[in-house]
Amino acid sequence: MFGKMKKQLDRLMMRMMITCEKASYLISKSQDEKLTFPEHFQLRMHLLGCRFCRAYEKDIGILSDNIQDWKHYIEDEGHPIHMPGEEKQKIREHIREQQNGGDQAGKDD
Amino acid sequence: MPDLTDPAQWVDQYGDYLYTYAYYRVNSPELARDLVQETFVSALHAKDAFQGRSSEKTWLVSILKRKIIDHYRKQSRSKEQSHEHYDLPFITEGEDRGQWDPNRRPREWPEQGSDIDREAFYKVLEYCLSLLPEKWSGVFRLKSIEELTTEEICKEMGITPSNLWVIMHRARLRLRECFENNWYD
Repeated sequence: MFGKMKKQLDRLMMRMMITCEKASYLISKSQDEKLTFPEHFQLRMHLLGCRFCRAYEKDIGILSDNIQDWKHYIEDEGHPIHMPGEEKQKIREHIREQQNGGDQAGKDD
Repeated sequence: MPDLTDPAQWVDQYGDYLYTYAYYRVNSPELARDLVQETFVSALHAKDAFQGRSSEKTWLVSILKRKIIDHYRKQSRSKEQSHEHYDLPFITEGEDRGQWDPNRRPREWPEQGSDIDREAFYKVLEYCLSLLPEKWSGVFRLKSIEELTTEEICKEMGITPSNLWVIMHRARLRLRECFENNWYD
């Protein structure tokens, strides 16, 4: 009776135990999607006992925040990258050719 | 019909803006330049369809954005993938399979003050993003920079949601490790 219960408990524990590889996958997935209940539960159980995955979760959060900051930075007009003048000239000429080409435009590319 | 600026003026008015937009997204000055040129050419041929519902600049950006997504797709499907190899930071054999490789365990990053050199920091970020293999890079950028939905990315890149989660997972492992080695060290 007791042995049978222990076996069932062991099996349950085994099902809940996940590796760090799986845990880090779930941490990543949770950034983009809502985890299913079993996934969420497995991850929380794992994190209770694993400081490396706890560090990973925190680092990934910081990484995401930094990428958001960077996105705003690159979309802010205060930080333009200037196209070299000769490249601009080539594009200007290319536009002019296309305009003058009328219906022929694009055919001589 | 709304008035558009003379296309001859586009380069001066929007050239740098579009170039900057593309430059940060494709990691290559030559490619950024080509995408800007293609954007102007497409705009030229489509200018009769311009409805004036958005500004001219927004309209040009939307054309460029479409070209960038097409570029990611082509890149991810091309056979000439960079062969840069990345071993996941986990033990691959034995009883401890799937646990962190002891030499590559994540460290908890220290709190970052507001006095850090943002420019230098972003250079590291750009460098780390440039290390991602093309397919990961496209998926990762579409998700975290362009903020496309999972369904949209799967459709564009011809992958399943599980593929997407695995790619995002590996990209994050790689980026985190790159950051730890190049910024927090």
